[in-house]
Amino acid sequence: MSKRIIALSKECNCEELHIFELPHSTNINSKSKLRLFCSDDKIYQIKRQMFSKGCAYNKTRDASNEKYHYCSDSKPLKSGILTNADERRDGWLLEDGYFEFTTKYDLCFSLCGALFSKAKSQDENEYQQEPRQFNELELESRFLMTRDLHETLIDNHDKGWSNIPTRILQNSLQQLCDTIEEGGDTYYKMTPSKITKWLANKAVKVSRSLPASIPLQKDLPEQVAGHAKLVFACNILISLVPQPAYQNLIQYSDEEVNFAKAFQEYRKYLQDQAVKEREQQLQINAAMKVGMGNGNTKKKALVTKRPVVTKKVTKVSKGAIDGFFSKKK
Amino acid sequence: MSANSVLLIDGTSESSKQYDMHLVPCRIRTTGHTNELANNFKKDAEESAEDNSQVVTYIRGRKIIGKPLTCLDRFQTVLLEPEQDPETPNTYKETARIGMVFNYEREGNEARLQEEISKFEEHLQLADVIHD
Repeated sequence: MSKRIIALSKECNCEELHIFELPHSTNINSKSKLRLFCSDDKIYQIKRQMFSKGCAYNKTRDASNEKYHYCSDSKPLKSGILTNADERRDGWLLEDGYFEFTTKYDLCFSLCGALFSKAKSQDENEYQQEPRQFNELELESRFLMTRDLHETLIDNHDKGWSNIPTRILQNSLQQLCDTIEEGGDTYYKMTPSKITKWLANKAVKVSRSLPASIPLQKDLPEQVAGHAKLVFACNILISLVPQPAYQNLIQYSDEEVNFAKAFQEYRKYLQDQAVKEREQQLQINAAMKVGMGNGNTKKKALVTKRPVVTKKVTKVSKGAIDGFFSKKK
Repeated sequence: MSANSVLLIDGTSESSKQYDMHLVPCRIRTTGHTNELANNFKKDAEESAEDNSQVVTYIRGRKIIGKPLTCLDRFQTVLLEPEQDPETPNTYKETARIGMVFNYEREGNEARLQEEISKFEEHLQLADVIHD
């Protein structure tokens, strides 16, 4: 075990943090488990940051641009040095130059993953395929009290759920479940429709605060820009939700937002733009060739006349030397 | 590094040691304490900005340029070391604080330096939007 450097949110006041794991909320096999901890009724995720290293999404592009170089063992060229300003002789060298950091984590994503835990995917490319029907949900499809639902999650999904305090779980369930009040108790049942509604709200929120590096064209008409932002927001959330949840999201519509229309309209706009660009390119090409070769760029097919060779036909007649003594014409 | 671990944070560590972290663009094939920084790896005062917004230094004569991760100002960055007590496995205890974190690239590669830091800041902001 070596040293760890962790940037903890200043909101974390706990002196003892218990880190535990939950399966990745996308149910994608290749994605590693989430490392989480609880502090003050909130859940935080621990991630790792290493610079001088490209992400998997841009791997091919980075390789062709030779943007990053790696050691022979495929490790990034990044090490760490710790300096003590008060005592320069007190320094540390760290072969792997990385640190960990924490971000807030919305437990609803993991509940979403648990509900669709049978829907496993290899990667996000599968999300674009035709929607599959998932009638069999992993969790029990009946109303349960928080405690019972918690036990179901521990038994049927992952043991890591035992680290989640009931009150935090209850807060998340209230966002994703249909509820029934009976005898002073509340019973919860997670439903795909509630999850889609919750996810749609998230996507709308993300669409209003898209990162600056998102390749959103600046000259888009206002209405198309609105559609494009929703599309990009969904594509950001794709890395956090399982395939059925994503498929439900991109078909969702209510009186305020219509994702299906946003995808359709933005796709149509891109296709129209592509056609326009092609036409413009053709016009440019035609304009550039004006006056060259009287505008007739077709080459005439060369007609080569073959000299006609006339063969003398020797009459065949009887006798061995008849041909030699042929009659004069 | 074990997944299920315990981190012991010293809430009253005002007087504890403080290091700055420098992420340098090379592979140092060792991990451990060193006293060689007493006369090496000092910032070039002439070329570095006074407010540390840009730091210039040298590794084996090669010029490297660093920028601070100011987005970590809203974090408390701690250095943790594993507990030696066998009764408390997978437990890490805070031994020092990390003041500033600098990311470096070699001279001429500043564009990538800025891009990577900006992307990291975006990642933090986006995580707040999604999970808050």
